[in-house]
Amino acid sequence: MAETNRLYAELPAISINESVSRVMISGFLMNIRGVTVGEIEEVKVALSEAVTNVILHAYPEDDKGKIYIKAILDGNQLTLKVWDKGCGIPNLTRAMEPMFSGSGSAERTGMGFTVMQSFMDGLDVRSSVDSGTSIVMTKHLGIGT
Amino acid sequence: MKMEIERSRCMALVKLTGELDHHACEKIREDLDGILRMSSTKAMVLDMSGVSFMDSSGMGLLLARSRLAADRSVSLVIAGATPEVGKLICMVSLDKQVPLFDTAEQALEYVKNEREQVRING
Repeated sequence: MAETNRLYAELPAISINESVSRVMISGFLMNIRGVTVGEIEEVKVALSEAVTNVILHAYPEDDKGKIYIKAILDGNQLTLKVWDKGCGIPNLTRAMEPMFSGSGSAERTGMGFTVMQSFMDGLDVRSSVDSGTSIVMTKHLGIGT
Repeated sequence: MKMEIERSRCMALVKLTGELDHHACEKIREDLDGILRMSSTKAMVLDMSGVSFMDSSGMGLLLARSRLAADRSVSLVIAGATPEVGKLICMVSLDKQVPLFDTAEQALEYVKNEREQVRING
């Protein structure tokens, strides 16, 4: 029978926690049968994108809330959920278009959701204005398993 | 994120070491811009062989620096990107705007030859 493992974390939405979340998920995935370094790297990038979205967009500058992270491992199947209780995304369809950035900054590529889609098998984003946003990503880990 | 800078005449070799995420980008952006805005800088080699992780914040940092370099007629080249970092660079077509090299030595050689061509052509 496939082993199940779970991880849950609540972190303040501050930028230092981008790397904290990556270290956490690396450790969580490390002992999966057949998992490759490349697969772990892809999950780290996808998680980093989701966490950075919360830090940059979910909460006002002077009232930073929390990032919620849940990972469930059912055998080699990973389900990763990242959510917040922030301002939500008013136009989700537009926000998910490649190269669209709500910030208008030249420093933002607007590629966060595209990267998540590219590096994971499944992506489901739900958002409600003034209630928050949740991102659920899935990935089968371990070549040939 | 650690940044080491070596300057020789009009060239700057910038070696980045660590993880290039939004947190790190906030810390190194101004330093990179400072080098690109120096009137003596004609070329910058960004050695990314020590960058173990990059996400779209890093992509944004590189894209914006490539625009600034183009605006200031500075030749920007990238060296030593790992396959994972290279994949993200290609995702935003940065490889079409900035030459990529496997090593900093190759990148420096390219920049030297380019500067020599500029000198010959006046």
